[in-house]
Amino acid sequence: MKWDKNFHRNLKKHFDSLSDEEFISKLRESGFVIDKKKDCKVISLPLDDNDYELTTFVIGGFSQQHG
Amino acid sequence: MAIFKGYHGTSLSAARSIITSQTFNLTIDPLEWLGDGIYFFVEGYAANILSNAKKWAIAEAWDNRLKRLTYFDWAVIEVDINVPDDELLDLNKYIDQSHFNDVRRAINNDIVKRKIASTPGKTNDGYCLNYARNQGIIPFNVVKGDFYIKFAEERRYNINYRIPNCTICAVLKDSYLSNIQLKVKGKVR
Repeated sequence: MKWDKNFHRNLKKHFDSLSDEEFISKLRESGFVIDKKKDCKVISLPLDDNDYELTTFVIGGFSQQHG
Repeated sequence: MAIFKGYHGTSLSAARSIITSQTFNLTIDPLEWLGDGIYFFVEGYAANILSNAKKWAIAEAWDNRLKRLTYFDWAVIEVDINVPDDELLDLNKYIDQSHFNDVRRAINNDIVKRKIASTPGKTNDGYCLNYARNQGIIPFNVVKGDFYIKFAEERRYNINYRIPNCTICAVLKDSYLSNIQLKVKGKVR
């Protein structure tokens, strides 16, 4: 893979440019199952590079395993 | 251009159909290891790729829901995979893995930040790879990585490991496949 030097800037720009509805639509295009929006309880966490494990746990138990 | 061999284990009847048509059905399933794609065992982690493809074909013959074999003859198809270097996401390379992790984290963070309730599957890597490709964030057409895959014995005795036992590859464009041929076949015992 050849990586653009602006990869991370473009990545941020991608997410910043999307409305919630657009983001949900794009998630669904990729197979994500979206239950509902806004009225769900999600624990708010300060996110930084070290919080990845905790973050993924909070949004629903991501696992490394494939049956 | 990267060129490498791929081995696809399946039933003999499916293999014959693939060879006759010279095309594979694309698997559309974010729950697969690498998301959507046509799957192959490729050179990398395991020494004997062909053996893994054979073991996969035999393991897949058993339908655990129906409690019976769904086919009795297996086959392994060999292909050449030809992919431009800038369309190959190699998750065994640090830079590729690191960038994918950044995309995965960005997706997850935005899901949390926007308070979107998403039902995850057993693994979300396939969803994130699909997202990265579909949105042009990582414009790959072939992705490969090391995984632990259960074959018949591990499935029968429900043995779980994490350390990889093979390298697999998902190809999104069947035009990147050539020399599609039957490599070996046998009986499921």
